[in-house]
Amino acid sequence: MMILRELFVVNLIIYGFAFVFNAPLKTLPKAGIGGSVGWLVYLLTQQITGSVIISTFTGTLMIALLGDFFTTQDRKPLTVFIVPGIVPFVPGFGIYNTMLAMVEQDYPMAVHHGTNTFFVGLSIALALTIMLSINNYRKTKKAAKTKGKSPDVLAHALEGNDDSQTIPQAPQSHR
Amino acid sequence: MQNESKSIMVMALYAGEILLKNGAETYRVEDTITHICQSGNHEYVEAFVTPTGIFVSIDQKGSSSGNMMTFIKRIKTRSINLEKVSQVNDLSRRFVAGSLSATEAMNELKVIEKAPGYPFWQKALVGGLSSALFSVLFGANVVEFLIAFMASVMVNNVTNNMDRASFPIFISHLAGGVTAAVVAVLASSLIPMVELDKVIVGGVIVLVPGVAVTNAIRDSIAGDLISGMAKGAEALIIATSIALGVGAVLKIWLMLLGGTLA
Repeated sequence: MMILRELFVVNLIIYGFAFVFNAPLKTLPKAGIGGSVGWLVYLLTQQITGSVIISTFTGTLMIALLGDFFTTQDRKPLTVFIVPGIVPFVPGFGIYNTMLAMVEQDYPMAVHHGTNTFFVGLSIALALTIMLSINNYRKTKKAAKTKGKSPDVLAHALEGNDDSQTIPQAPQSHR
Repeated sequence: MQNESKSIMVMALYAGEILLKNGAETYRVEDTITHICQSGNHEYVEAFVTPTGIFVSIDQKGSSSGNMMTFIKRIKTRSINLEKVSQVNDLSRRFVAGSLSATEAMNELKVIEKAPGYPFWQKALVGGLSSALFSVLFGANVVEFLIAFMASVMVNNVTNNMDRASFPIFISHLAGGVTAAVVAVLASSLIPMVELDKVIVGGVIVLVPGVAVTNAIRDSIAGDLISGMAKGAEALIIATSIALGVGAVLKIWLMLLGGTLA
């Protein structure tokens, strides 16, 4: 029951922030679903491991996975789903707490909040990067295999672009 | 030929500017510019994007040295508007596919940039509501929720008006922090069941740079070190200004009343 209530609240939060970030109206429900499922995974992982950092990682991984699925459905860029989705995880309050502790000259607390903020931020960023890199690798392979596409696509795919986040201009790709 | 190259490049730069100003990732901006320029028969394209500026250089294969061009665009303000990112992304894909001319694309970009988005009062209300819900996630009760909602709407208004009057972000966010803390202090001293920090959480969460911290680390992991550092610095400055505003009000309150922080 508690979990259901929390999921509902998280869903509303994501809707609200997606609206503040001017996300297209049609994408709001999907961003909400992605974020809520991510939060559920976060709660479950926290039950098992007890670590906020690991749970944030798995939760974000879920959001990125669902976001990628929605991207292929809707032909919208991935950011539209990911940015509102990660809002509940994002360590904005942590960095504020860090600076507040510094202002109040409570340096041990500042270090505590600071490291926590950094690692939570790192785990979110890491989850997104891993997901996007795998995705990119998959699409590059697909583009290289597909014959008869425009030569530009092939060239770009075969070039072995070392920027792990560059997604080639294949017809199936959604940058 | 020279003119056509120039119009394509200006268009690419404008698309990049809109993307960067509205919170797209660095790699997306670089990618979009590169693809647009390449589709105009420019084999050599280098785009270097940082949160404060775009540098683009293009050249054609086998052309004489006179054709190389470099443009620089300075970016001063950044916010998040996912609708514009999505539209520019769509437009660049259509342009690369060849269904648009450079002039048509330029006109569409102008329309996209002018689009007002959701009206401000709606954003302030919805933003206030979801920030207040954040304090529920931290365990706030109904009264705290309502006051946090009020505080957040006020913070939104103050910060937005100051941003529009082109104060630096440090000052506008400082004022936002002060507003949230003043509302929280007043509410908690008037109503006994209101806890100070829950109202402050709900009030400042709209300003707090959580997404910026994450994007900074993301850029750094991806190797865009300058973008990463710049975004991190921006996040740190914003967080400091909010904390300074809140901290100052709390200090003054303690000095006046001699109470303790709940």
